[in-house]
Amino acid sequence: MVELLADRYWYVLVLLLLAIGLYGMFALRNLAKKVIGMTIFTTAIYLFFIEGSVVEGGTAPVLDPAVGLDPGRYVDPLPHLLILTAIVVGVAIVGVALALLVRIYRTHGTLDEDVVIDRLGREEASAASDAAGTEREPGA
Amino acid sequence: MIWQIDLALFVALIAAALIALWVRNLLTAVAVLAVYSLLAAVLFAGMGAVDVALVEAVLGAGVTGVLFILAVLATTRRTPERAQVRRRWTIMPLLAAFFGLMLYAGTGLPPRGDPEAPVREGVAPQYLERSLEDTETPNVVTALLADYRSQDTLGETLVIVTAALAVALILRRDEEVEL
Repeated sequence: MVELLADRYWYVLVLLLLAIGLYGMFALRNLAKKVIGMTIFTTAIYLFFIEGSVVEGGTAPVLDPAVGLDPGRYVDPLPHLLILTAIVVGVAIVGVALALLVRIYRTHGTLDEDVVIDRLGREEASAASDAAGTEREPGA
Repeated sequence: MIWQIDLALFVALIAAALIALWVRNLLTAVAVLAVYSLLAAVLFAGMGAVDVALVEAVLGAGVTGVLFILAVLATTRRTPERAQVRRRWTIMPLLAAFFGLMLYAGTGLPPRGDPEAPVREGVAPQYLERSLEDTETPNVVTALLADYRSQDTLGETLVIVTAALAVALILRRDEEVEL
């Protein structure tokens, strides 16, 4: 078991980062901190994928006559491509999330999740009582 | 890559992640997050993923940082009290279960840098062998991105357009209904 972990300490470190990101998303009350947690989580996934592309003794996947054309001398280029796409999409996600944050702040004046949920719940309750009031009127 | 440097960078990465979630001032948190992305970019470069390192440094540290700073300046940089104790204790068992489960799954993965790993038997060596002949591009990642998988890249630009459209719709000020 110890040998297995020594071989795989990278996976353990990436998992730690994933757990830290999840903690940020679930446990913190500030909405901006949640987005920071999400960024930490996604970057950890990038690290996991690139880690999978590493080959013992391999160099960057730029074909070099000095190294030769043997595929065993280069790291795997396919995860690199997937992660390039993922980084670009990740930035788009962060952009949309931050736009939602700005909108929430404009409406509620706070980024505190609990306060926003509380206010939304109260609004719903008052809307429900309003609806009940208007329904009762015609019958009265 | 020299494993001592590797490990030191990774410890710094974890410290940066923890600090980014810990500090109260949001602008400080964003700055630490940019440091986190830059450290990740250095790790990518160390693993031979030079293209990914460049993109992570520009987009992950640069553009994400600018977006965060703009959002913080448009809202507030103060954060309320840290996580409530009750919520922290309900999330911890879930995180521990997640960590344990993933650790257990990780034991089934091939060791780092294994040339015999299943992924090396698939299409990856063929890309490395054929890309110079097919595309005359020495950088295999570029050949993959712009030649073999150019439709993926087209779809990616579509995602960016959709995201820009969503941001414009969310932030639109006119005809705003007073709540």
